[in-house]
Amino acid sequence: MAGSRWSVLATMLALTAVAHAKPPAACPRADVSDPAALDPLFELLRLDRLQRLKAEFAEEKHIALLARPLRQTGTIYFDRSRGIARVTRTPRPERMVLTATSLRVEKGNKLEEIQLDKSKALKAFALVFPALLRGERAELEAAFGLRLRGAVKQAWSLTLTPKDPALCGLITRVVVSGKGAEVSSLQVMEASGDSTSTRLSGIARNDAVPAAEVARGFGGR
Amino acid sequence: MRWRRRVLGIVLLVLTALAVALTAPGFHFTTEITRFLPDHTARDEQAGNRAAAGLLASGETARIMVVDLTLGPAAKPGSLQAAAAALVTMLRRHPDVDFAYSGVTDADVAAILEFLSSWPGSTFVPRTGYTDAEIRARLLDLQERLGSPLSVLIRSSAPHDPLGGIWQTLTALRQAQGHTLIDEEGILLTPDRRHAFVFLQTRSSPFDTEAQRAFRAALDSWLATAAPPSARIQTAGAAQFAIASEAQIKGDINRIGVFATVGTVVLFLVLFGSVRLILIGLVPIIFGSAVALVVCHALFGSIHGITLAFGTSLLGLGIDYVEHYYTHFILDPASDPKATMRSVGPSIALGATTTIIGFVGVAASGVAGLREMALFSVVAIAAALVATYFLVPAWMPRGYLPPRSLARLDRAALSLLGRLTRNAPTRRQRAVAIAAALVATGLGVAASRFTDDVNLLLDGGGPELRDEREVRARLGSAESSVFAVATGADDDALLVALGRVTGELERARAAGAVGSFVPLGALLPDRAEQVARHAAARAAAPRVRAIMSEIGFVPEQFQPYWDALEAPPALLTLDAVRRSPLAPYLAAWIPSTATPTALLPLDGVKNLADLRARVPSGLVMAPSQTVVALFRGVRTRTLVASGLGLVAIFALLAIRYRNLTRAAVALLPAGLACVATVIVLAAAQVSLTILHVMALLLAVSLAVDFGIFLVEKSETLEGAARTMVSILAAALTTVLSFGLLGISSNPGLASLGITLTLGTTFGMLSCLLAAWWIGQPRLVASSS
Repeated sequence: MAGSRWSVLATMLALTAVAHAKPPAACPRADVSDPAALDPLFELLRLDRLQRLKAEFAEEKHIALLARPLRQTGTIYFDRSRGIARVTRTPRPERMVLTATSLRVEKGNKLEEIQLDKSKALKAFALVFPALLRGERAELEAAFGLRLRGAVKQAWSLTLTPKDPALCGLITRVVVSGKGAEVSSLQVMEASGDSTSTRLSGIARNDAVPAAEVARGFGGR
Repeated sequence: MRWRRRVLGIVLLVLTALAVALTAPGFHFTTEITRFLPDHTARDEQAGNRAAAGLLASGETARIMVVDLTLGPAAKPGSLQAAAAALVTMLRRHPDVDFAYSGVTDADVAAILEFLSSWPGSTFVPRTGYTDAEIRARLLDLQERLGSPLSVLIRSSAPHDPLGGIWQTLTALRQAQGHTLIDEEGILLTPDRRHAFVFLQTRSSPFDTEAQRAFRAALDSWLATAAPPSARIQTAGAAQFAIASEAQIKGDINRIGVFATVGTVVLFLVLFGSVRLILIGLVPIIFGSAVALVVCHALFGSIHGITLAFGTSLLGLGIDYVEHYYTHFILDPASDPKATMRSVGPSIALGATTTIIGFVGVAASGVAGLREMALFSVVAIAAALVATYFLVPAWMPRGYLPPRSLARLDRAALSLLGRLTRNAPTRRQRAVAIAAALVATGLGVAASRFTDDVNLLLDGGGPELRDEREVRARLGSAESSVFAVATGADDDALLVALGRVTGELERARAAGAVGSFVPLGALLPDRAEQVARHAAARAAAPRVRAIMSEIGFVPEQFQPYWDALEAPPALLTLDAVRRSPLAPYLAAWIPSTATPTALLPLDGVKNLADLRARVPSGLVMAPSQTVVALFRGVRTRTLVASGLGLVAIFALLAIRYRNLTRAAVALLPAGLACVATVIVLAAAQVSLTILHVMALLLAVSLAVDFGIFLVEKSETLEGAARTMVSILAAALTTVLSFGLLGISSNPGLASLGITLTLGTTFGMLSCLLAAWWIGQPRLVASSS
């Protein structure tokens, strides 16, 4: 009993510690679009029924603690039933697999796994990208205020502003950009002022991505 | 003179009644099983005793109740979590609930991290963390984590703790033990999400049955009125056993008390045929019990249910003296009451003295509960003896016509003893008898099996035990069965000891002697260590800055860390942790005991002795094994003390009789009763417990009385026959009351009753053998 209680606590503290400072009592009022304005984008994503996706990513993190930005490159895999796998090649190999219930990080011989059910805020943040690719509007709206800019069939950007105080103490907004049903970049603005920008390229969708390659991306054979 | 005695008696009884009336409102009864754990006094050299007692009395298992809530398989997703959250809310509002929680919420995490971060970053970084290589490794690790998708989680703590002390400590704690439960939004669930767990501690002791019953009623009320209709609750913890034990023991006391009283009254009517004699006979018992109750309560503050049940059964012992006196008075009507008392008084006093010596052995057993029982018995017997000797003769009737039953029994006893002693045992017969006794003793010793199970008071078939097992099984493998125990004279000393034990366990883990453990010492460094760490961090600050710049950090961004190093060290204390959001978690491992004690659960221990050798600064113990070993020690000490008591009794008798053979014959019924009882119990495949030993001791004390009564009155055949009748009456009374204990549903009480019934019966029968041994020369029929 003591072990389980302590272990759960330590897991929460070590891996899902959302902030050591008290979260704000309430999040700033989000600038949200009229619900009808969001319809075309989510209708498009719903009809697209994306099953599989593979894309190269290039990520740049601007962190105040560091003199230079951190850059990472690799491949992202999406599988509608499995979730997202992010295989980093540089600067160090790493695999991150995000499912509906957990986040698993493999680095060398080290493996860390977080149960996302432990924290509503963490789960909402982690699942932004897969939820968008699936066109799950209700799931996104439960945790974020949504603001759409641009034309859906041309270039658009969707700004997600957290509603949960535990989450808005961490991030101020997430901006996803795309064209049509295709997502091309993701920006995360943190409450600390740090930001992360991820650009996708070489996007292959559905049948253009062999299922076996996606399975390998998720760590299977 | 007779009237003066009567007035004195009345005054004494009134004073006793007043004392009981004055103290009765403060009487507090308990069923705390820890009273039957060995003492943990300063004189006790075995630290294990202290630890085991502390663990069981104050450990999480005893104090924290687990509520297992289920809504059944058809419950909607999320409904169980909502019901459990509502239960936590209700419990937190309950005035008797100290704390209640389930899983860990985001708010809990934020509060705990805020607390940990309020101490200097150096607090959790070991002094070995300040070599250039170690600083570089730690900073590179931070850089790598900042680059990971989870950077957001570490970002806020990094400026305060660049070398990752808090992070590293929490990761070590997390890796300490795996767990099978899941935590969904602050509710701890089984993996199939069918059972939710809520942990709570009441302000009242789990052994305060009145408060626990009230709390249980509140829980039931919530279940009936506020919980979903399909909700079901099971609980685990000491409180439910305390409630059930109390109800069981109280029920048994009432039933046994009533039956014993009715049985004794009927027996008295049959044997003595006088209501007046019954009433007079009750005086020593009531007087003895009342005095014992007041004395025990004054000394111990409360009375244990077992003591009370045992005391109730003393009816059968205290009344023996009266019966012995009555029998001689009635069967020799020519004698004056006072003269009869002068005649039998010495044997009664001698019997009582030997019984008291027997109970002194029990008091020396080193168990508070047994000491309480022994003191109760000694006081009750002494008071009953005084009342018998001084009060009873003054109230004896004149012109009393006894029933024929006693005279018939007397004639039968006379006839039996006459036949038994007609031919004195030959030397050969005596040798055969001695050989047979020795063989029987050897057989008894060889056949006896002992067990030292601590769960004597638990009803194995009760719903509480079933619930306990089921709930703990669902909690899964998180239960540790081995602990490392660190103790200190005060909090600071405890943290020093904890640091040493943690270090030794780290080395033991590296050597494979332990799989995993909770490195509590890493979270709670002692005062001197914190000061040293702060100094080391301060000295290393320039190098940390240089390495930061070298590998791409901006040192100025870590100002909270530099500021904390410049300030005098703020020292994390155990008291601060106890007042922090970590308190409910810490309470499980650092319970509030008189001696500050920390309990570290260990997993993967294969060789306890090897681990003990590797962890000399702490005590490595498996509580269940330790308690068994402790009880084994208690049993051994009780047996040794009882053996010494018998030697003392023998010496007393030898001095009294100035004859070793006579003294040995007086002890013969006791020895034979003990051996025969053990053989019968062994034949019934009963493993002997500490309570069997206790009961045997009492049976031996009774049988010693029987032997003394017989030897004291063996000068004439009539005297011996009357004594045999009184022994029969005493044995019947004892069996009536103690035999009824044998039908108790409480295993502990039942073992007491059965053993005493056997012992008393064999003790009575052995008196015939003693009479045969004494033989005709001493049994001269004076009137023939």
